[in-house]
Amino acid sequence: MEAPEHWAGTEPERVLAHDGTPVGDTDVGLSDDQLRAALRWMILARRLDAECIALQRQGELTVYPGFEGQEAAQIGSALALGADDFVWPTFRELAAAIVRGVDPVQYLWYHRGTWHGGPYDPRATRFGPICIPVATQLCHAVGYAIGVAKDGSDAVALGYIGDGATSEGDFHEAMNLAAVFRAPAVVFVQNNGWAISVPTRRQTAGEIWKRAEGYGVPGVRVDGNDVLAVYRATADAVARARRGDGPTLIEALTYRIGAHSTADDAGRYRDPAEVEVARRFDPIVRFRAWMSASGRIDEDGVASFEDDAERFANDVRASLVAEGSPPAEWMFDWAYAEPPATLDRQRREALG
Amino acid sequence: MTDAAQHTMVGALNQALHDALRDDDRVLVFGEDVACLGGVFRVTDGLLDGFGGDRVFDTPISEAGIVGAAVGLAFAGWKSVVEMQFDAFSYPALEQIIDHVAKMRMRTRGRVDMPIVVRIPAFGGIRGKEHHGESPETYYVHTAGLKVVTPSSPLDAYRLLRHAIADPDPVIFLEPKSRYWPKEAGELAFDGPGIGVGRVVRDGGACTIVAYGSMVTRCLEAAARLEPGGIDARVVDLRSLSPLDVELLERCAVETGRVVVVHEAPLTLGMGAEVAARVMELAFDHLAAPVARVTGWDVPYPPAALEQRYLPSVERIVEAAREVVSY
Amino acid sequence: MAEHVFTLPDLGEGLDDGTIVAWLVTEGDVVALNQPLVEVETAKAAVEIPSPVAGTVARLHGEVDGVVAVGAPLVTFELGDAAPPTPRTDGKDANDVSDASTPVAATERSSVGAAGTVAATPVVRKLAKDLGVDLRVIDGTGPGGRITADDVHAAADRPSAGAEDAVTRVPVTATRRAIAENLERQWSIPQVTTFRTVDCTELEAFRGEVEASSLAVVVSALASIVPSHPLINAAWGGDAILLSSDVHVGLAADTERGLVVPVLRDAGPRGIAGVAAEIRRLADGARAGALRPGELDGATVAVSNTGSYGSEAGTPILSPGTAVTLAFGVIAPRALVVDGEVRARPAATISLTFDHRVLDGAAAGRALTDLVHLLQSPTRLRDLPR
Repeated sequence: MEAPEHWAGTEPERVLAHDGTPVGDTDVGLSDDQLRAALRWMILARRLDAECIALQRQGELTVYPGFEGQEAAQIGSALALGADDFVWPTFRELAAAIVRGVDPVQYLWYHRGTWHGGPYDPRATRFGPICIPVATQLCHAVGYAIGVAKDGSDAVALGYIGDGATSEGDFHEAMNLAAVFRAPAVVFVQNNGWAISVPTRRQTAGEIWKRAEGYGVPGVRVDGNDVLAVYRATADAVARARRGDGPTLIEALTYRIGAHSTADDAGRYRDPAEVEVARRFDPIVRFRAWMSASGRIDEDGVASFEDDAERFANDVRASLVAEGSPPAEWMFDWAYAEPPATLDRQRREALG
Repeated sequence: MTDAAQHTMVGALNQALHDALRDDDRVLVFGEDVACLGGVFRVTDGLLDGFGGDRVFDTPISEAGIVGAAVGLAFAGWKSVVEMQFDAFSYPALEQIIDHVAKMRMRTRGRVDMPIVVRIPAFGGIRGKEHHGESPETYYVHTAGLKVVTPSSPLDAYRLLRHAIADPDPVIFLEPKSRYWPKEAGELAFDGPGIGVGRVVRDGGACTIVAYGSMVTRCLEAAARLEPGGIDARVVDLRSLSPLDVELLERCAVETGRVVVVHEAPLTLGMGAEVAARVMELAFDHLAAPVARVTGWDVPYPPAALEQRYLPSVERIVEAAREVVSY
Repeated sequence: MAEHVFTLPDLGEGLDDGTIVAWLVTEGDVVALNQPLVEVETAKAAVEIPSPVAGTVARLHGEVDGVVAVGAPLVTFELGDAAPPTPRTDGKDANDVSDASTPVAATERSSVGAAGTVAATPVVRKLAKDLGVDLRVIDGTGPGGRITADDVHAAADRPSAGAEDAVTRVPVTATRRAIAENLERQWSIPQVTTFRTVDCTELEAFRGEVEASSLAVVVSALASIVPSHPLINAAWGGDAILLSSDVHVGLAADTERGLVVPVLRDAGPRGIAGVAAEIRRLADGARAGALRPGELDGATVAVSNTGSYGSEAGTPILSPGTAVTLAFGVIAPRALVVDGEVRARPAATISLTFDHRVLDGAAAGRALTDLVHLLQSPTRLRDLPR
């Protein structure tokens, strides 16, 4: 079966074939309840993603970057983390965020233009601020990992990036620092084939996971649309970091079904036929097929998840559209811990 | 009675780092060549021995990574004091500083402090190679969320660095390389003016010469040279470039009616532009002469053979003061 | 039935409008939430817009290929009993800046400077400088006591008491400036003037006899009393009083180019005729501008002939380098008491200004008395060496 072009090369670690047939040990350490929860999260996430795109078209969100097709990569990796582990996301990890317990409405303040960074509490949720300058947050992940290790904690930092961000200097600097300091960090690359309009082959001439060897750390290539394989690869990397054996670079092969964002028109650079090919490798279809075939869920179970997803999306919509604008004071409240006199004067001028 | 101890700025900064590491076990010192070597200017000399490799450590040559790691360390509750080795080498870290260090308090709705000090040996006048004599202050001053300070003397260097490390907000700490080794007598003390406060280092009524960092000494020389001619110049050391002590600027402009601003950085959009604008806004009715700026030229910093032709000389400062006084 | 007007949102980042490519619903259709309504092409992308509400399409705004502005109505829905989505109304839109905030800077600006500074804008300062107005003596009428341009004009016009157009500015020549600076410098010397009246009956007869001007007689008389009163021919030297053995008399002369003071050198040995001749030569030279620099300095004592322009008496300012400067007023008939009776006699007032650092009033008065006696009995001057 023909696959997206950026999946060529080294065969990724895989538990389920594209049709859901097991090709490896399906006991990745998740109970049946946890497996059903994983499927439920994937269905909820996809539904929420669709709702967000609609909300953008209706003027309720500013630009929104969709993640359709990347549910297994995000949810499989997020589920492999412990409560104290800390996620350093890009701007496309809404699925990982809801799994980690971030309030989706507060998360969407970001895309609604209500507030920058982490409108939710990044410390309490262990989910760092949404980060647009690509790869910069990996340096934060590494610093955080070094910091918690100094305190004797066994917490791990996981940084998400995309294929495009691996071209940035900060990717290299973060990988190198993490390796030199044996930081308890996991660098999780979602290689979705496209960095806005540039395909992976024009982003990098090699395979991303292989760069790990140059840094002296383990590298893993995993089928990013296989939630079980993603979970296992991430859980292994997290365990290695927790043991004090340093960082791991994971390349998860997935596919960006939608455009880069709602402000983008993929039709200008991408053959729609390629997307149709990629849809055949849909992560939810694959996981649901195995769950059904292995008797872990039935049609009613799936239907109830879909009902949950519908309610979830509607609840998020209702709460979000009811949100007013933030108070203008916020502009001034958090510029400094103690506002300088010069800023106080401007604050009075702005707020009257 | 004993003579007060003599301190170089390098020694004072070293003592400040030592005392901060001693007083607060969340303080870390790291960067390129800061641990084993003690820093290329020896500012971090002996700290590794004193506090161990867990708190004082060398990093790869990785300015963005160093500052980015400091951001993550702040999330984990650590206060990082990082060194950028030379002014121009701080530029790879600009993205981290502007996008994250400066904005993280805002981006987290006040939930996360960024108690980071970025130490940057800065300015010229030491016959350095290219990229070793830059005045980057405007880039940082123009970035909301940062504080930017620069000392002009050893005793004040100690005080300012202690304040910078204790500050919950990020501080860009510009160290005037050309003032690293001259000595000053006195006791190193934390108390005294903090960040956001300038100081009058020489009183006078004829005009106010505003400077900071390396240029303060030259302005004092200029003031001494003006005195026999009957011009009694006041010299202000800004110390804190952001926040700027606008109240001090206002007071001095009102009292003397004549202001000269001096800096090494190029003229256009330098600190002089801001000082002149503030003086105009706050003391317009009291000005007896236009604000004069004595600065580096609007050219890239020149080689050692020409740097004294670039830097504001005592003669240029004297001439500018005479002009505003006789205006 | 509630109505909901759906306006075209900004589908990209900062887009202004969109073109309707195709309507996917028609008026009267019942649509579900998120059901595609319309395909719109923007400058960046072609997108399907899903319905923001469930309801009935009441009206489609715009035709296919028509351009709809962002914010303009796109579709009007009837919502049945359902309430349309409305944002919470706990405050106005934070971007609403319609209530202009009050600038605070102005009220915080300093209005009062420390001693010696006044509030005035630079342009007003320039005006004051040009008009020679001292800002420190003006009470400003502007906000916070600021001195306005009107205040400066008013102050400049004050001496002419309302004759607002009566002032003509005459540029100062180099000579005038030199005179002014010289006088300012001399004025700083502590100096006192003392006066006496001279009965000129005999002087008038004498000068006719010797064919000399009264000024020449006065200069000769002055030179002749110097040996008895050396302090009148002296100068203040700071740590010493400098007595001159020679008598060089500065003679204030009015010329077209202003006041000049030629110096008559060695007045003592010249005798009246010699003095008279030298005065004529110097006066001619001064008027012609032909004097050499050496003839304009070095005075040890000075005389100003204020009588030459009819003035009865003067209070001369000390000439540079001198401790005494005399002024000799006009000789005119006056009522003098002679031998107990009032008689009309030709008379003049002689004024002696002296540097009080060099000599005191008594010494100056004694010298003046001797000079007056000599002028009232001038024949004694005939015996002076030639």
